[in-house]
Amino acid sequence: MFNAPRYTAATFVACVLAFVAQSQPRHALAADFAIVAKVIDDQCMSCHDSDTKKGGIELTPLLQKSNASYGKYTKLWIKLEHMVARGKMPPKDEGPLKPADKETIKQWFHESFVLREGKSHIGITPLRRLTRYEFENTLEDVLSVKLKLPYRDVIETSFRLSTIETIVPSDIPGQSGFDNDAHRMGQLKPPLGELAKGVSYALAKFRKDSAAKQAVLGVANIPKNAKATEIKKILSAFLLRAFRGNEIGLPEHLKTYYAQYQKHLKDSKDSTESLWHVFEMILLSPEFLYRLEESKNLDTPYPVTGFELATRLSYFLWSTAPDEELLRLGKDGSLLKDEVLKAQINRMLNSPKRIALSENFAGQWLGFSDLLASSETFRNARWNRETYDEILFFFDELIKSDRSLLEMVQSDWIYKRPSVLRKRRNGYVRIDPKTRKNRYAEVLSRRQIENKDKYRPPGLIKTKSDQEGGIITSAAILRLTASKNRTSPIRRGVWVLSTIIGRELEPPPNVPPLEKSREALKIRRNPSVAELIKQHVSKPECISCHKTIDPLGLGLENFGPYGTWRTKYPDKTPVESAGVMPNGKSFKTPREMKLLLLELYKEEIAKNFVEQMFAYALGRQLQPFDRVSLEPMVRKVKEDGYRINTVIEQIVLSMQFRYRQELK
Amino acid sequence: MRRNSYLIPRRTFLRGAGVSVALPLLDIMSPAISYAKDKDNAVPVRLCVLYKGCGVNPHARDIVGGTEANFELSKILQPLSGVQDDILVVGNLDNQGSSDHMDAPTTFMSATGHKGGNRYSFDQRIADQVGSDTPIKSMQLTADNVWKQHPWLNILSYDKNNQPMRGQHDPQVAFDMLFKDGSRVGRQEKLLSVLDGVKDASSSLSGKVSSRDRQILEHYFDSIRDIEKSIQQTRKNSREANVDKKISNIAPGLEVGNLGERIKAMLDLITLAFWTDSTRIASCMLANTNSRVHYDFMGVNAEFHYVSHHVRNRKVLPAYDKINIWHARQLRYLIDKMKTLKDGSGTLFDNSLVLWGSGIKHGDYHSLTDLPLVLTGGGGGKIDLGRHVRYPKAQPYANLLLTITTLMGAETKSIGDSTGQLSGITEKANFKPANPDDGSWKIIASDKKTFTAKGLLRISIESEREYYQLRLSDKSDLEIRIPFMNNHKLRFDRYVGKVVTVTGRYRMVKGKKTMVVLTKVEAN
Repeated sequence: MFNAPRYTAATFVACVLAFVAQSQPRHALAADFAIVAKVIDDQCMSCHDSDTKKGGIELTPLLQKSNASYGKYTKLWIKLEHMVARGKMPPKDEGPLKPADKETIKQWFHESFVLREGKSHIGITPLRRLTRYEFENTLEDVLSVKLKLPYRDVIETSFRLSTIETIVPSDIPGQSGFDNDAHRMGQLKPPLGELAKGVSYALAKFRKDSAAKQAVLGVANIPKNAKATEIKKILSAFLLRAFRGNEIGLPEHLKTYYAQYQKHLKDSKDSTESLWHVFEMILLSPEFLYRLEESKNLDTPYPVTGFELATRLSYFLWSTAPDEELLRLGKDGSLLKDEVLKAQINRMLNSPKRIALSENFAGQWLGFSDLLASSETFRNARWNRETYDEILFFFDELIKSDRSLLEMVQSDWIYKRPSVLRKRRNGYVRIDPKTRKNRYAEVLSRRQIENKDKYRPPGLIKTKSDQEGGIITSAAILRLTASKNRTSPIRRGVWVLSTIIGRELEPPPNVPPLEKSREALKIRRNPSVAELIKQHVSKPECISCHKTIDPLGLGLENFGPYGTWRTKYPDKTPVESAGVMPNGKSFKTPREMKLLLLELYKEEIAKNFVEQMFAYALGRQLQPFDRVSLEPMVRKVKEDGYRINTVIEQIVLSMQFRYRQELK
Repeated sequence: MRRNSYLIPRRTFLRGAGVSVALPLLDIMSPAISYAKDKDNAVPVRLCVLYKGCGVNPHARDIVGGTEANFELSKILQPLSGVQDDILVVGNLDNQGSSDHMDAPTTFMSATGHKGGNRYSFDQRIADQVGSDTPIKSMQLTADNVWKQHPWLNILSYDKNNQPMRGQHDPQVAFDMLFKDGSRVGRQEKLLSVLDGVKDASSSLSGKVSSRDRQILEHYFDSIRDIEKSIQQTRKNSREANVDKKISNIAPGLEVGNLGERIKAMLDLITLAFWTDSTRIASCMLANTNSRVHYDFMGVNAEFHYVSHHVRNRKVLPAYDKINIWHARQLRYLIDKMKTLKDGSGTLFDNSLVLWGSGIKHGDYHSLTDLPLVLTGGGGGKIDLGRHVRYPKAQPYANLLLTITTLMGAETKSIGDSTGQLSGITEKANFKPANPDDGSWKIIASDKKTFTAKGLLRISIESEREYYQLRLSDKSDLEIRIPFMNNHKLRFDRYVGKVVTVTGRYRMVKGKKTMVVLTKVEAN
């Protein structure tokens, strides 16, 4: 049994202060639901009743007290509060809400959805199962074998998946937007048949690898007629390894699995075979496939154990089982101390295993993992991989060098693929060229490299024109937001607005046919893309979203479907890519557009980044009750110059990350 | 590694030629592999559901005029000429529920409108009752790309607990699952034994975790039970030894390049699975509802989903129709394949029931009314083929699912909003033709610039550019080629399929009066 957790008084206070500060004693409830209902009735129902349903929104259910908490109408409440708090509703021509009414709604929402009985909380901590990505990584580390595809291999032939990726189906993303959404995974049956095949494959590799066996089991070969003590020793080592260092209950597990071993041995008469049989069992058990945590069945937050925190940290930053050092600090309780935790975060972000954040988190969030995941060839195998690498290395650099997250929008450095850099007199200035080999060795450390000398990584270079910098203008993103033969300013604009800035957009109703628009505009036969899009400003129901979407997409029109710069369309008409942002400021180049983006949306971009990473780390969608932690986190990130390591640290130090809770 | 045997020779690949992935077994003109007879010693009927998302251009798809047994195939169904006697085209069936991209496939398969979260698909209803007599209960395939961010798009079938059944995208894996897994008896024994042990070892788990977590772990134990059941089923229904032997000698080169190759490989797999009685229920998603596949492998430089929104953007119509025609050709491929295989006293075609359809009708409006559906396959001799049935009054699409379910030998009181069995499937419908020619279809009045004519309005099936035709009683067609806005203002396209009287200006083109401006249209 490891030491009981110890907090220093200071850290406890610091950690919980922000949290507790939001709490209010019950009797001081500032707003009664009846008052809120009256405000909504008076101010909103004329447009949002069941007859009118302006904008498709009907607020009648919210007038009932029974719907005044988490449940069927949570999303609607969140939307209402959002619109009221931002002053977006009532619409301008209706006149604003009285300040007292606005406060009433905000206060009531805070007390009903953000707090619970006057106290802040972190909601239900869901049980988390290993995703396919984590499953493959964990098997690799637990068994000390290589399962992923050799990196070079994937470029040479047409697209292929590793054996595990072929056998085990991909996980379905949940409300959080990520495939590690525990609520989603918890609703579905795990694909045990396929996972069993995967385990079998991994064990077959392990079995042939003497070095691996030595490392994991302590022996290079299992003797044929082994004695009970030998078997128990090997089994014990395997269990500890398979259960990711969890010592709790180990004696019982050993008893259970040894009994299984003996049962099998009766028929097989072969201690080696029976042992492998039991190994397979262990890797299909809940203790391996799920990240089990001890539950106290409390409905208020309580800290997880050091070991559990080590596991959470390892899966967040590395998507795999914790290593020896992390386990040691977890089990002896040191990890529960802030300084130790911070030091470990630092160590882990300096390890090549941090690539999981770029591959898994960024790959899903920004969508560039599609370049490798889909058999639809975006261009060809080489181009797909090269442009994928550009973003992978870029994101990894952001983390490794602790850069500002805003550099995703605009930076004066990027990674450029070898087919561009190979050209003579390409004009690019390399940054730290000597460290190139080390850099790619780190990024690819989890992959087997077939021919180290043949692999050409992207180069770290200074941007040399207005056309480059950040992720938005990377070839990968530009291709992902276009189709093979044409670009779509709307697709691109929507991508920037929803993925980077974090706005929620809904598809528009009743889009009129293009020809009608052409007629209405009274423009010549072949209107330019920009002129066509001008139609969006002709109708009020279109303007509201399109005044923000269009400039972003239009600003990127100089980039063709593959990200190459163009000044003319294929039909020789000129590209008009200048635009006007919602604040009236205009831009002429992509760089100007990106700088205006930052000027207008910096806060939202930062908040969105933090929220996305937070949802990924917790394995669930964020809820209003998470606001209590989120607001100070975002503030700290801003104070620290929007640095990514601060984001990561703040997430790990949050109550959601270090505590758990069961809601009664 | 084993995988190397499946790599297609590099040269073929480089040539970019469509690689033939027809499984060798299908080419063997050997005596029929014996099928497993069902309980009544009859040849079992197999069900194949082919889903093609992104809808159709109704004008290019709808069959207009003609009679039940004597009709002209529409533009999109042209590839089925030559097998017109082998298909049953049904029209005016309406579905309920959500037609948006994420929901359309399951709306098509369940007809429940997802009321109460019910997505139980009709193929699983059937499989739950009759699927236990084959090694594999049912098979799900998906040919279109799986969007990692939105896997829902590719899911057709849901089981009775509303659990999604993922379609297999890799034909090689599907082949292995169908044919190699079952023959690896040793491997299955081992898996059962492993799972047994796991259950044993995990029995003490529940005490330590929260009640909420325990619910999640229930799914884990459910999954174990599922595997045990499916292994037992495979064992109970093992194929004949010589069949297994033939199959184990095959190493099909199932590495496919583009969508076309993948679809053909999957249709081959379904055919083979049916023929060897490995399963009797299969579904395949040919194109998902937001298909971003680029159809350049068949000469169209466009994404399917993009061109399906053809009202907003008229220019894409030729490409849209071309892709849909290509898809009809894939159905033809399956029909031809199935007809070549002996099964019982007939062919596999005679003993199969194939439902080919789209979840929505109008690609742009995502309408759920009058779904585009084609039934083919003899259904065990029960389906009356070679007809076009258009129900005079719209019927619930769920009635068709109910009818198919019954034909497959499964019993169910109702499906979704079904009101009963659909007439006209197993026997002639004998509906009065919708637009009988009473001899009055002709030019009524004419002068140097304008004419007025009455006739049946159809849409051209000969060229890429759409134009309208007014069918007259003398079987000739008056051409109507008017500008889009003219068409749009008078909502002319709504009249297709109806008898109308049109008035407008004309020009002489190749000696025939061709209307170029429409001034008035009236339905008769």
